[in-house]
Amino acid sequence: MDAVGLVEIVDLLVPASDGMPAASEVEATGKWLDRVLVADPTLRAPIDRLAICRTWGDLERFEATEPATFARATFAVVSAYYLHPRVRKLMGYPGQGPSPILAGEGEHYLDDALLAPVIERGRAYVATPDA
Amino acid sequence: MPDVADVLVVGAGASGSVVAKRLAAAGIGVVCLEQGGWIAADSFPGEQREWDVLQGSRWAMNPNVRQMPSDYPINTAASDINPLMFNAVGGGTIHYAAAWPRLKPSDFRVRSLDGVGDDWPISYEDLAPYYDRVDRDFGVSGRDGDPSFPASTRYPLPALPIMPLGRRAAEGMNRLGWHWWPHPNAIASEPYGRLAACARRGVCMTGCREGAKASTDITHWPDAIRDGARLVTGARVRRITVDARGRASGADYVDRDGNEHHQAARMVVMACNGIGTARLLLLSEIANSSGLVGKRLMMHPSVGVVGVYDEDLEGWKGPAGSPLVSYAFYETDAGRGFVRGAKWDAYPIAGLSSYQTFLGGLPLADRMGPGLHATMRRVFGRSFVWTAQTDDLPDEANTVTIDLALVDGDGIPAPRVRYRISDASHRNMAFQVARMREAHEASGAIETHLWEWIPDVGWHTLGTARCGNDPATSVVDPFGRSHDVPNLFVVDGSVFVTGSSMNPTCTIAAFALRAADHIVDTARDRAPRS
Ligand SMILES: Cc1cc2nc3c(=O)[nH]c(=O)nc-3n(C[C@H](O)[C@H](O)[C@H](O)COP(=O)(O)OP(=O)(O)OC[C@H]3O[C@@H](n4cnc5c(N)ncnc54)[C@H](O)[C@@H]3O)c2cc1C
Ligand code: SF4
Repeated sequence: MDAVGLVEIVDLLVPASDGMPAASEVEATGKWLDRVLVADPTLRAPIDRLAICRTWGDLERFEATEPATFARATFAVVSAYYLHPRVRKLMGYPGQGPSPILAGEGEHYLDDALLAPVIERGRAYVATPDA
Repeated sequence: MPDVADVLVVGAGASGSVVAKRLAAAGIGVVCLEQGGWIAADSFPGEQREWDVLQGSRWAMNPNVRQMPSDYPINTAASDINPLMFNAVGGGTIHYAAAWPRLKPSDFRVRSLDGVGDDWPISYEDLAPYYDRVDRDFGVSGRDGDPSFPASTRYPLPALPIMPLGRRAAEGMNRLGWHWWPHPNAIASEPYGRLAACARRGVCMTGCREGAKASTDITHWPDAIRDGARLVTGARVRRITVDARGRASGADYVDRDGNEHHQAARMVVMACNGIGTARLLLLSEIANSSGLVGKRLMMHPSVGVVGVYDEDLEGWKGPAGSPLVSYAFYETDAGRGFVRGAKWDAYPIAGLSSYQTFLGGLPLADRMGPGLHATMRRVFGRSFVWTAQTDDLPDEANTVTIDLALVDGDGIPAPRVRYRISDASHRNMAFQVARMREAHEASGAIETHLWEWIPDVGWHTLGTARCGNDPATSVVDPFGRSHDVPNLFVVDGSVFVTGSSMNPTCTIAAFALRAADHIVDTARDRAPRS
């Protein structure tokens, strides 16, 4: 794989903008991509295919001709990028961590009689015809 | 291990577990052969940073992708939908979302009511007491009083919170006058038996490390084993054997070291799901005088619409059992151009990279490159998906057969699936997509995106050994007993007569428990001891 080429093309896919770092600033083609490829080695071939792109036009052609492979390649790229702790923090994403249910939380979301119209409309099923 | 088991259960998934536990409690000698093993909770990938990658590889729902040693390959070249399953102690309950709806009364009578498919030989009322029992055995969290069902007994646990996304969804549904209700889930909202309280990690479909989701390795097997059931793991059954009188006599199986064994039994219960049971019955050339084994496969074509909102909905938080359900478009309305309907669920969207999978409708420069970050800021955590799981009606051309070339790791011929989505299902999905967009708009969505999941929606494999009263038109009787082989039962999703639009495990478990009660009541009279 042409590493320099990959870094450049991945930075085209994930550039620095809107307060977010470019992929290359957070090692998205380095150790985080390695982790992604360990987690799913079948993503290597799409990444290798991505690495031969040079321009945005190449990317558009890649997607137009091989949409499934392109989708896998971009999935690998964004997955690697979003593994970085700084990126997650900037996105406000804590990961799929625990968030225990608080006492009374179930009722909290329903407390202003949210279900009342459903209940008022009454029975909403077709009964067994021969029962 | 007993030389001759009273009852041999093949498959330790949802239905096999229910039967094994019930029979063992009644003092019946049970041996269960399961091709998979026990999955340790700490091996589930939910806490790993790259969880969303792992759920598409080693922990994929699709066994053809996952390729664990316990999996068998399935030829899906002629199928519009990929069958999904997990092969281990607990079976599909290891991976399921644990959405736990009952079928509706009309689901059992679609021929009488709608002139399509067939009526079931049992009714909602026949299953109702078993629904109540499995709700307790699986520790279901739900809210009583949904007017979409006949009055039922109380759920053992309070419903899971509908969360900000559920509230937003509900407000829109109320504006439109459409039904919704907090969804019952086999996920413990509070500690219950061996189940811990749900910690809402949202990774339920790759296994619950918390032990809050009712998978039968937790809810059933410890009791079954305590009561004497013998569970043999890594035991892949290649054939059900029959004696000279045509009665089931046990099963040939191969262990993980490649050694061949035979387990003799007085009765055999098939619980390998809609693919695995059909495969084994066909390989064994039994129970098929109707010619219907492997036919009428149903898999619930499904589609989603994502709504993006202008507020943080914490849209990644679990559980990824369903917080909210709607049956607004479930029953038949003749004016729609198709009969039956769909079940809707409002689901969170876990992880970050999964967002790319539904943004495909945007130009490339809006979802990657210059537009990536702005788009992700707009959609991440601020979205949820309405899904429509459509009713699936039987078609004898949708089949499980034996592949002539493909074999599993033990050289046993693999199943081949042929499944085509019907025109009616396509019309049904198009109708539901339009309504789901309206629902999001009524909830104030700032944009909507179609989420096309097909082909990876085959969570439910149903119908390939249907039950019925007539041996000419069904494989098993209303209790799951083979019309041809009197000491052979089928208790898994194969027995479904029609698909309904419901996630089926609640009904599979209820049917299996009813079958097990019947075996307890009759087995000793029926099965001769040799
Ligand atoms: C990702 C996912 C999400 C789901 N979500 C839901 C949901 O929210 N709600 C719901 O109701 N349902 C859901 N389901 C479906 C649910 O898992 C199934 O309905 C249920 O597990 C089926 O039960 P069963 O007993 O028919 O078969 P299974 O649970 O599939 O069990 C079959 C068992 O048989 C074993 N077996 C098969 N062949 C052999 C053989 N030859 N020898 C030995 N053992 C064998 C298998 O290893 C397996 O353990 C989901 C499924 C998946 C995959
Ligand atoms: S959300 Fe609840 S049920 Fe799902 S994996 Fe987490 S703890 Fe388990």
